[in-house]
Amino acid sequence: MNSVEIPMPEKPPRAGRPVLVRLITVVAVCLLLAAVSWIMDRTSIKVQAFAYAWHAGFFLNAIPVVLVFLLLLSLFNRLSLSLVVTFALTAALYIANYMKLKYLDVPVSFSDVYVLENLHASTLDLLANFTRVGWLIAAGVLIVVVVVVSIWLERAFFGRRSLARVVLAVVVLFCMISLGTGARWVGRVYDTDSLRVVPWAPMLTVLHAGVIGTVAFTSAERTRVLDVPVDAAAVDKFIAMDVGPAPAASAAGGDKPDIVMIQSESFFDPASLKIVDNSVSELPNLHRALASGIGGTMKAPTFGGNTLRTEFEVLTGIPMNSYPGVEFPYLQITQKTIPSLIRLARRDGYATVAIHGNSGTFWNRSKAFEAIGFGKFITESDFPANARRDGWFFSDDAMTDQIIGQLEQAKTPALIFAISIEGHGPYLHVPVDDKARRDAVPAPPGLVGKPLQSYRNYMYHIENADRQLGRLWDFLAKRGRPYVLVFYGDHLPPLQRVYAVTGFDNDRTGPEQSVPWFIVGSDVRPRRQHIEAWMMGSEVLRSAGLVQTPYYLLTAKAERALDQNPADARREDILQGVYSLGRLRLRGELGNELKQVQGLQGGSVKADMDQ
Amino acid sequence: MLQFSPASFSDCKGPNIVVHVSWDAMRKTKGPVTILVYKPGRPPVVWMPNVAPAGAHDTGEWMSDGSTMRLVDAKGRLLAMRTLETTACE
Repeated sequence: MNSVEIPMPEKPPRAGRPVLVRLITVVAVCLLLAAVSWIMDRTSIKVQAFAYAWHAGFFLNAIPVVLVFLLLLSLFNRLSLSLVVTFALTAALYIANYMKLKYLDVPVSFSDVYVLENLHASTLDLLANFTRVGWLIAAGVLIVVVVVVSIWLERAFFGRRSLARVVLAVVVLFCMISLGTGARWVGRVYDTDSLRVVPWAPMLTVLHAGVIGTVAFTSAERTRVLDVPVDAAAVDKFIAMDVGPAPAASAAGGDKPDIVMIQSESFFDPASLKIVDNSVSELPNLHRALASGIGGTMKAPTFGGNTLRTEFEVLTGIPMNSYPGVEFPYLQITQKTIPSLIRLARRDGYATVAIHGNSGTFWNRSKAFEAIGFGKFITESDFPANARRDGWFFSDDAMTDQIIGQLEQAKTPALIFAISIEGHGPYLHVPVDDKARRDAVPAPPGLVGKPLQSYRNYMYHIENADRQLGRLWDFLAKRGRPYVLVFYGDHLPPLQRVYAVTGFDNDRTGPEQSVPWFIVGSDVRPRRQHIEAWMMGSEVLRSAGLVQTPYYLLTAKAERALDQNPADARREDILQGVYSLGRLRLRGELGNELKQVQGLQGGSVKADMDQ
Repeated sequence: MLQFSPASFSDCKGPNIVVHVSWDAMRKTKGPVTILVYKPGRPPVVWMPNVAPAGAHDTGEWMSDGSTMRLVDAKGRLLAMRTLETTACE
């Protein structure tokens, strides 16, 4: 009798299981995802594990996570694999949130998408300094292994040619595209009331709505961030306000001075910390400048990072508070022409040059600087191959060489705007060229271990910045040409370890602190002044003896008015007037308002549209 | 155990309230405990340093939406956490 081989039946796909069982499984997994993602959310912002659970925010926060899971399920057709990858992606987001709160004091937001869209090698290089690359690589390898093993061993969830799978994929994709593009129906679901959005307190919004819920809300709102109304009554009220006469401008006559503006990375005066008495020996040129020029403290619109916010205010004179929804101005304000101090200088016959020892695409600067009116933008690729580095990036020494080189080549008066990068964090493991000098930085009382290491590394680099400031200033002073030298810090450094040990002299928080600023020059008289970053433009124009357009006369007026320590209501009137003027300026709609300013004293007024 | 009374309050009552805080960590430690307090995204500050493992105390009128307290032992290990919530003002 011949034996007959009976072939073993293939493992049936899950299509053989009842639909109800599969549906219950998916619902259970979705609920699990909602709960776990909420716990991750609460952990990342360090509140109780189920604070505000089962409120609307809990469910709305879970929806994008569930959508990712369902999309992966329809693509991979494997339940466990889809669940594991969704967990991994969600965990990565919340780790990023934790880190962003730790170093920059702000949570992950929708605007971070712009960073991802502008992801270049220089961005990755910078971000890598805040993470342990080894762990990221290990996590990536683990995920790849899980994917391969799961596809090989796990049973398919849907049957072959499953209509349900196709329908699921289509519906999920529709929902995800709607979330990503901020479709109107998303705005109705993720609305202010159900999420309990608190516009003036982003962390409370995150507390109620979760990080992901807040990002989804912002996605729906982002098309409206520039659609902020102008308060015409506030503008009129501010223009009509009597704040006393304006100080006389520097005499306009003779050769126009060269203007050099240094935006110094993370530069602040450590003497504002309780444990540091003074910084005269560490930053002698800063103190020399503050004693002989105009200067004092400047409130920057950012803390720990996001340099371009300060940069935008300085270059355009427009307060970031004119557009509270804008987090990254160069990424979210993308019009072809942006009114600026640079355009004014160019119109006055200046060569306008920007210098930055990093990629020109970082923060979308290349495009933004074109709109702002720079004639030339020198970036890291233009630095010579042997330009000196110290720390993570090109040194302030190399940047100063570039500034001097541009001045020596210039055939017309030049306005040079240089953005340093040597002082960029993080600071715990930042390399230094001269370890002995770094180790010799005196330890403030109470600072030991990692906080002391971060502090010393930071001080090493800003001492370099101060030294180069002195070199540049000496060069300008001996050159035999009139000059104006402007210097300011862009924001406080991300030195959370140090701030946690010591407080600040004024007992305020890190984000409430100010950075130093000054202007020195051939014809600059000493004056102490606290300013906001958007006031810098009018100070520069006045110091250089250049024409003050009506908009800058108004920002100077605001500076005088706020300097008078007004009562809260008047202060609010001043600021709301300026914020609305800023919106009109950006839109190029200042015409009627400028006519009211024709009679302002203190400088010649150009009657043209301010650009 | 770390409890707030009230556990939540209406936004109508204003941004800040007084909260009666009670704690009992006797099942986890017999030694002194410390209670830290902070708002979301802010660094913690010490409110009740080295107190008995069970007790109660009223805060000042500074507890607000999201104010969180952490009960830690002498070695800094987390024993309990509580976050104050609010309900929307209608």
